[in-house]
Amino acid sequence: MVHQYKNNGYNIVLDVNSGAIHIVDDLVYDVIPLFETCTREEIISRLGQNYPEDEIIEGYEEVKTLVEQQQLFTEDEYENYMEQFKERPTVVKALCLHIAHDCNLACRYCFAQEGEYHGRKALMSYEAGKAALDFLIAESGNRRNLEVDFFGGEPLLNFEVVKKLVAYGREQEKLHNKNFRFTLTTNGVLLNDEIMEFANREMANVVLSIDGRKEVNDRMRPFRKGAGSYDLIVPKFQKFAESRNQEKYYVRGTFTHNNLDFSEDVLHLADLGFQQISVEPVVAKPTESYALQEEDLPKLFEEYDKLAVEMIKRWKENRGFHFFHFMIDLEGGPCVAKRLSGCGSGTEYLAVTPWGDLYPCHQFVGNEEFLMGNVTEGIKSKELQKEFKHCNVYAKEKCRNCFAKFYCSGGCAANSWNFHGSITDSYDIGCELQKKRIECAIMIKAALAEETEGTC
Amino acid sequence: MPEESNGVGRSPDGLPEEPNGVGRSPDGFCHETEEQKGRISMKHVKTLNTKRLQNTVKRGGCGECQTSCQSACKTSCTVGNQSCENK
Ligand code: SF4
Ligand code: SF4
Ligand code: SF4
Repeated sequence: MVHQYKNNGYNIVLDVNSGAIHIVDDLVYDVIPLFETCTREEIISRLGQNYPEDEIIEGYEEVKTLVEQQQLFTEDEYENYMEQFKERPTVVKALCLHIAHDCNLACRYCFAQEGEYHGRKALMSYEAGKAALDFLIAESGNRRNLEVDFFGGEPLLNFEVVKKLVAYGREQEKLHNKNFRFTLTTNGVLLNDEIMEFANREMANVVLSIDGRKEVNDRMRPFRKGAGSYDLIVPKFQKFAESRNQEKYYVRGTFTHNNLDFSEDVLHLADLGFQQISVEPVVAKPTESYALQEEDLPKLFEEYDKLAVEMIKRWKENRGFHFFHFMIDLEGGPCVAKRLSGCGSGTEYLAVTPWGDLYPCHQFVGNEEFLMGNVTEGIKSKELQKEFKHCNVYAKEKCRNCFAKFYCSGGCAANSWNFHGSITDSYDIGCELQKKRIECAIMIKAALAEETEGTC
Repeated sequence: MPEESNGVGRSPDGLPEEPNGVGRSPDGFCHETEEQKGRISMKHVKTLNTKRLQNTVKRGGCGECQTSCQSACKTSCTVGNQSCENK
């Protein structure tokens, strides 16, 4: 499978199955779609109007060389491998701990209904949290790196328990030869020096929620009485980011139908000094006024393009920043198994409610259909576990034929469920945006590679 | 270079420098010559990476790397940018 596109003056050819990426001139760009179905002579005659014959032959030969080197038109050899791969025993290696089902903000798009997840307000007790960590250690087989995200609602509403659980984890990891990686997702309202200092010592990553420009943030992220949160959180986040040497954190925002010009929000965050930025499309039922609509797509594509061009400019001026959805590792990056096996929800990754119930991931919490068990008795619904386990790229018709499959891993099961009532479908607006982001990310690589050419 | 100015030593792909001292430029590419990378130089084509995903089949799948939704997003599955921990 080959995906070719033009962006910002570059002709880009992605050989999907090998991951090879080629920047080509117009001639080769035109040869490639004909290569598999036409003979050399047919190609010469079809392109003869636009290019001299000797050039076409030269281009044709170069394409042929790429094919011989297995860098173009390579086959998908992975389906059987993935079949076997998903049969291996399930281990759990990551938990999202809902440390507080309560929140001091009332964000309009909150999938947890302002922190309460269709249910009651509740804080996780130390005992329940401890049982969750014990469950994780017991279920993790020989995996060493275990991830625990303190999530909410707003986890800082229950900070004492966070501190005690980290201490417990640090004690247990030594006994069981594990390595806990704790992370924290917070709206910043309660951040103070003590919490920052603790997080800098213990948290492998922190996610700081803010949407961008003041008016955008304050419209969607107000306090319960209606006042905006921007003025309170920005200085705290700036201080926090600096205290982490501008790494191992993200400022993380959501864009909605209300701020389709979201590139302005990303740049606003960059102008505030943040170097690790993630601004992402809202997930909402299509009936919500702020939900993204299909007709928003052209505008959103334009925004990604605009952002990509501006990011290249800033990198060249030595004031670059990272945008999570444009980050792509062309030389390293994950193995095929990781790329194709999906997000791990319901198998390797589970969410835990304040009272210890297990759900496939944070997005499913509160939906009783997806209750999988609890931390003391373990997974009770083996059926659900099996369903999630089989949910990889090859289980989804749309993904199997999608050029983005090695970068997106088949999308989000929760989105698919929200839109189609099935975890093996995909959320189409999300897919269009995902594909656009990958195209931009590769283009950025091409542009920056050009810049450093000649320095080798 | 941004690496020097912010002192973090990260390339725009967000991944740390290679531990083996292979210098990564801000674009995330290794500074090796075309020959070292086993590329042949072409007139109409410039290949950005010589990686073959097929080569990761044998040693892959150890599961030690980060779960995608734990990294930043909590709403989407993005794996192309995760770093492999099985070097
Ligand atoms: S650490 Fe590397 S090899 Fe192991 S699953 Fe992750 S990407 Fe694959
Ligand atoms: S972009 Fe959509 S169709 Fe393509 S792999 Fe991702 S979820 Fe599947
Ligand atoms: S189902 Fe979606 S939200 Fe849940 S872990 Fe997977 S990608 Fe993340």
